Amino acid sequence: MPARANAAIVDRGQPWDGMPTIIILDAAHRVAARYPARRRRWLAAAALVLALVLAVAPVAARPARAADVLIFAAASTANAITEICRLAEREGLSRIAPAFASSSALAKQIDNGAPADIFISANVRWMDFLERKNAIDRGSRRDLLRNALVLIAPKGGGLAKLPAVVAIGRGFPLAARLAGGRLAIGDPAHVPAGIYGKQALVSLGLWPSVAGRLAPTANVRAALTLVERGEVEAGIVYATDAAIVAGKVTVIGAFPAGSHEPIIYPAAIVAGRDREAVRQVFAFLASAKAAAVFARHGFAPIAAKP
Amino acid sequence: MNLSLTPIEIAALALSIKVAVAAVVVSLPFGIAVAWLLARREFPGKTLLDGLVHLPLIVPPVVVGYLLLVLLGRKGPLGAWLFDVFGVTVAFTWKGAAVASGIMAFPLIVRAIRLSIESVDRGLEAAARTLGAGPVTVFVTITLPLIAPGILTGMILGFARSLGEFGATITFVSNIPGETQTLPLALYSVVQTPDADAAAMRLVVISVVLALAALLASEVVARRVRQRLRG
Repeated sequence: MPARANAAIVDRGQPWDGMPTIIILDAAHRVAARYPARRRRWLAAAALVLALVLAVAPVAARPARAADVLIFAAASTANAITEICRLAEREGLSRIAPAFASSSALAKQIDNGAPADIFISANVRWMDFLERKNAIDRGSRRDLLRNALVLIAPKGGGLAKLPAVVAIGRGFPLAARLAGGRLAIGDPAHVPAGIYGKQALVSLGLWPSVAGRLAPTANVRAALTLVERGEVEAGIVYATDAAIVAGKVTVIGAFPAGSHEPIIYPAAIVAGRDREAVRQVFAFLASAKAAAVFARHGFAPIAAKP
Repeated sequence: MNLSLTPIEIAALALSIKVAVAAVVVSLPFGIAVAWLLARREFPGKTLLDGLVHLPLIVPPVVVGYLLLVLLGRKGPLGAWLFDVFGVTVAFTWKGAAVASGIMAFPLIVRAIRLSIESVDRGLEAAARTLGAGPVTVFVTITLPLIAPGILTGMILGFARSLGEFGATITFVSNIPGETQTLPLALYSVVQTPDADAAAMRLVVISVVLALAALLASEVVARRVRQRLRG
């Protein structure tokens, strides 16, 4: 089983929870109230030490083994990359530890020194951001995959009763069909899927009518979960995400490729992390075997420039 | 540095205060009841209740948010019931954010009040009973004033926890500006956007000022309560 740094650990967008510290201090207060003053001081000192240790412990994380290659990849590539990691290990490459979160969160973390070796972004913008900051190895950067944007609805929900359309056009009755419900979308402020979604809605003239009916989520997979659970009337996700939960959601239609920036997933080696194992894994990501896995998950691999 | 607040910041600040106040006000009666139960009564399943009350402290907030989504979402058992009977939905509204904050703050409120109840002199209550007061009168006139500092502490802790609540809120009611985007969620959005450090610092300053103001207000009230108890 390959070692995994999962998004919950890496995605430090969540503020640190001092809960264990508070519990220790509170419990110590209750116990100390029962003892005479002198012992109280010792108990207080012991509790303080324990609380400090617990506060520091999450930061002193397990260091990655020298053989591990850490890939930071956009949430939408999770299933495909996990499979490719298993494939790579079978092929004899080094162990790969993938971490998945929104490309915006990952880019910010890499900018702040996260020990990632390879970065796969769902959006050219965040790769450009890291390139401006000299955080990636420019020579290694390449466009890896293409994806498409679709509108989905819970199976059996109101929108699903519409006949499926091939391409969503200007007159699509989205706001009317939401009928008081909400449209789940990755936060258009920073999640790539949300940014593409907003571009598509703006260019189709649908944005003003639905802007007040959004449910912005932290990443595209959270939007998918909301639609899957039937909590929202519709959602905008990648075609690859819709394919994963095909049984629980209906694809209403695809946004025309011209209505948003081309969805390109660039990949690059992080600056200062270039070593043989990393280059091998990076080359494997662009190889024919990996391309087959990506294709099976619904991505369109981009062939290497000769 | 522009000192006036942008509409988004004002919305986040107002929403944070609204959600935190609602969370504390609604959790308080339940908090007092549960704290009294745990402090004064023995019953089968008491340890289980104690464990359940402390669950939000131990389990990751995102898990609590997901559980709330499952139970109180439009398709959840409680959510559907609430909608059918009362016509009320909490999903994707500030009420849902208040529910999430209230549940995360509940263990802190219970702990503080329970501590206070346990330190009340039972003799005073017994004396009141011998003088003819019924149990409810005893509670309202003797116990409640004596545990007032504990209730106040619980409210402050609960308010502070609600102000900082993030994981459960974003998972349950998502990040809707003006409706569920409290200060921590607004800060999260801004922090994720590259090159928005100035906006992030502004939100940090606003959050710190709010927390200090709340602490100051609570100190003033606590001092008044202590004076009244002594006098």
